[in-house]
Amino acid sequence: MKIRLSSIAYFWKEGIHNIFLHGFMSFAAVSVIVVCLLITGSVTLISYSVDLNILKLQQESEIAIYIDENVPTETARGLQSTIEAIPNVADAEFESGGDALEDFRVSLGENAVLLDGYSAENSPLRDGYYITMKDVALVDETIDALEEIDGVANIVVKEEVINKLLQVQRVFRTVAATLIVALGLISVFIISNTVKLAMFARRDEISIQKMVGATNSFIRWPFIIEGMLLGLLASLIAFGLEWWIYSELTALLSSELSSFTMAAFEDVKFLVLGCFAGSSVLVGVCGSALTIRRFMDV
Amino acid sequence: MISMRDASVVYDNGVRALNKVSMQIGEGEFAFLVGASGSGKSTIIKLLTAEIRPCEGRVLVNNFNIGKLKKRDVPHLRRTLGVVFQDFRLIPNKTVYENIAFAMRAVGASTRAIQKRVPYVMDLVGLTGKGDRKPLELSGGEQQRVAIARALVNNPRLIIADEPTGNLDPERSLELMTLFEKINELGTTVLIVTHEKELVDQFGKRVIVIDKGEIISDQMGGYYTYEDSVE
Repeated sequence: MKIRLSSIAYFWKEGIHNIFLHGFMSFAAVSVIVVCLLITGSVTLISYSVDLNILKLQQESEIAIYIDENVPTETARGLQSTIEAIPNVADAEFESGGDALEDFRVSLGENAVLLDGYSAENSPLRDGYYITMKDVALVDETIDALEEIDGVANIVVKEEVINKLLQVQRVFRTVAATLIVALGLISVFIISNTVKLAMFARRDEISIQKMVGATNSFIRWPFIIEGMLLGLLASLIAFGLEWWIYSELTALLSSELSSFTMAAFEDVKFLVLGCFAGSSVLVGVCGSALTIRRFMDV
Repeated sequence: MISMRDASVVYDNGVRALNKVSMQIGEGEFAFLVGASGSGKSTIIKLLTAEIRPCEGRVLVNNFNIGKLKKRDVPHLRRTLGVVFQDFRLIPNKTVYENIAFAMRAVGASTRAIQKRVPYVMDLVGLTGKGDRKPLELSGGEQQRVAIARALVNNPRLIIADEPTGNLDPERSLELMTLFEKINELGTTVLIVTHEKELVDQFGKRVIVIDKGEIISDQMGGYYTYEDSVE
């Protein structure tokens, strides 16, 4: 169907005009979208931060490997490149038997006398590496690869801790995903009802348009433009509020719970803006387009 | 213009609203369709505007076959009609000018055409100078004139008015009927659904009487003689 330029201008003029004309319904629709975006967005961002912290804890979980005492320290130090060549190894930190002895001596405090007679040259402790992994879920494969290296005498891994962390992460991700999907669905339900209410208030206008011979697309376009603009406005308001709320929350948590690191909003701001704008414009447009169908069967 | 042959309508609840109705209204005619409440007048209007379809028979309106009309073609049929309702059906938050122009917008008319046509139609129905008013600032008679202007603005071949004087006093009703007569003289076919005896009798036009879903009388220059059946 050929649409005149004057009709396109009319659609936009009507769409914008209707926002102000039906001020209360516009306010209600924007408020509902803002609240839904804020709740869903906040839960998502907090979930993301919690997940980051779980990942951080996992990455801090180390595998300790000890090198056979018959392997000279310099040879043991030379194994670093071999260890770091294993795909899942993020970092390998060498500690010589001498350094380990000194650390042990410090930790013993007054009882350090027990270690009198030992030095770096005759340290009873082995040279070793503390290894962090890229993905703790691949701990078994990493251990297998480490065991293949000549000179590795012993491997110590806190599998129980790693497994617990993995379990926590799995449960948390499931809970967070369920919560986000549920909140998203509830938001769509509330928003579509608000749109329905707005349409219901204008059903007479729609029926008059139908009666004078307007096509469905002619009736629909101003509503779609209105829905899109309201969605866009709501997303911008929600984005600003989300930024402020999240910053306040981050400040609060950093003072109360210093070990918990919140993801920096600046790192995800464009993603948040994109998601907010995309989802609210989609909801505004689809909500208008789908709901109006009910009122066009005249 | 309008051709109904053995048209029947049965609603979903089983009520037979029209039973084998046949009538013809030709180009340029002026006709009254009269009958009591529940006689089937409104059903005929719904049929003519393709709000409903006949379950039997054939209905042709401005060469559109209502029974076979596709949904996407309904707007094209309605653009050939002008419909006026008892309750005016104006959009309260638009001005008189916008209410009339809106019907032209709906059919994709250019702004230039709208600016030329709307003042002409407003003048025709006696609304000059009232373009900036909102409908609720006008009297009932004036509101109905706005509705008539809206119905006329796309230059329809047929005007259907459903109880157009139902909310007006006798003096305004007479003025309005005179306006319809004037519109008819300009070449537009007019079908007025009413049950106002005095008005119908005063004009001496064609009168079609419907009762219990059937046409029981159709006379040129007739009178509203079936008053017993009218509430």
